[in-house]
Amino acid sequence: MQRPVPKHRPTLGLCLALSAAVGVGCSSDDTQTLQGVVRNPPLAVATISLPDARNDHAPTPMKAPSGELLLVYFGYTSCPDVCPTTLSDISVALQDLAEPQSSRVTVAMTTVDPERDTDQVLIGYLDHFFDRSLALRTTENSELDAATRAFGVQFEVEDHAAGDSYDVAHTAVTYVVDDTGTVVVEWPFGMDSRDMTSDLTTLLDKEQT
Amino acid sequence: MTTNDPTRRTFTRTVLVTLSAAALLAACSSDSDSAATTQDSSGSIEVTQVWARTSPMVVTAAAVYMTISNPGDADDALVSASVDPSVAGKVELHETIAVGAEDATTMTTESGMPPTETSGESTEASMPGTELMKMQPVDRIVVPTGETVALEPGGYHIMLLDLVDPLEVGASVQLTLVFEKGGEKIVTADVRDIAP
Repeated sequence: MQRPVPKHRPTLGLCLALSAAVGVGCSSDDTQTLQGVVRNPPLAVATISLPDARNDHAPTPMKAPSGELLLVYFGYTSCPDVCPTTLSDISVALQDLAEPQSSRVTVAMTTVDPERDTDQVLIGYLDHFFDRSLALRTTENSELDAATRAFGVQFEVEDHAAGDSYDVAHTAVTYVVDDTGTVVVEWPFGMDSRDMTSDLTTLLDKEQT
Repeated sequence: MTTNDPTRRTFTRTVLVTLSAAALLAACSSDSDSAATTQDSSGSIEVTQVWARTSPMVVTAAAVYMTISNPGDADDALVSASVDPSVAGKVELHETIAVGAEDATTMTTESGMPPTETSGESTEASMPGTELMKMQPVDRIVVPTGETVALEPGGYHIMLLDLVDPLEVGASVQLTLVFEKGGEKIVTADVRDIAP
């Protein structure tokens, strides 16, 4: 079953459909105003850590600093369509957040293509989009597998000979993680940046209280 | 995986479908053969909103997007595109597709794990925007008479491969588009971070 992926879709309808279909709802007390997808029970990812290429490959746990949010995305820099679309939308969403809220959000991109995404490439790529980000890269398959499994990420590297170009199919969800390592909301590919800003505002307000 | 009829796919993906009364009449009154003979090819295709996504640090590939309108009286199709070799080594027509749950469950992931496991519900992978996204080349992008087809993020795009240099914001790229009936059309894509 294949179908095209329109960029802007009604997220409320998505939530309602999901709620009915798989027990994923958008209507629990604290999350009723969120535009993304809220999973019940939520994913817990605090036990997962990945090396940050920006910080001497220090193992970095998948949770935000206290009172902040971490946006975790799995992709690759040679991805010409899906990844820059999402990262640009996140970038716009962060720009639209009022200070000091925006300084309480960090983006973490994990490469699913460590073969081509060297530390330097990944860092330079992320610096184009964000003032502050984690460049997560591991060459240990088991480490990447553990992380993708925890988030429910799928990816598939196209067969290729050394030196040939190739694509990596991957899910393109952005996971919003709080300071306990809980995925509080998930943004499907194509979600409008204004909806992202709305979710961040809601969640950061809640973190503050 | 089966490939859908391109025309049908276009209908399902088209963002702006403008069916004028005239176009509707034309569509109803002519089959594709007769339409082809009456097509005045030059200049009937209109291309707007052309832009290329910046490719920071990356020379592997970059995507070009645009809106193509066909006010003419016959269906047409974008069949190829090219750029100067000083920009990119190869140009292809692509589309990004979402692979639904039925396909995803038969697919081997890198981790070797079933793609959906969190809730134990197999329908999860088919949530819009959460599926496995992959790109595939297409032979042609059909632009039916009287309609507008958007090449946009997450859908159809023109892929520049083997870039000579990364595309930087502020630069522009000239492309030659080739339409099946409308012939060649030269357009300029501004390099941008976000859609115009």
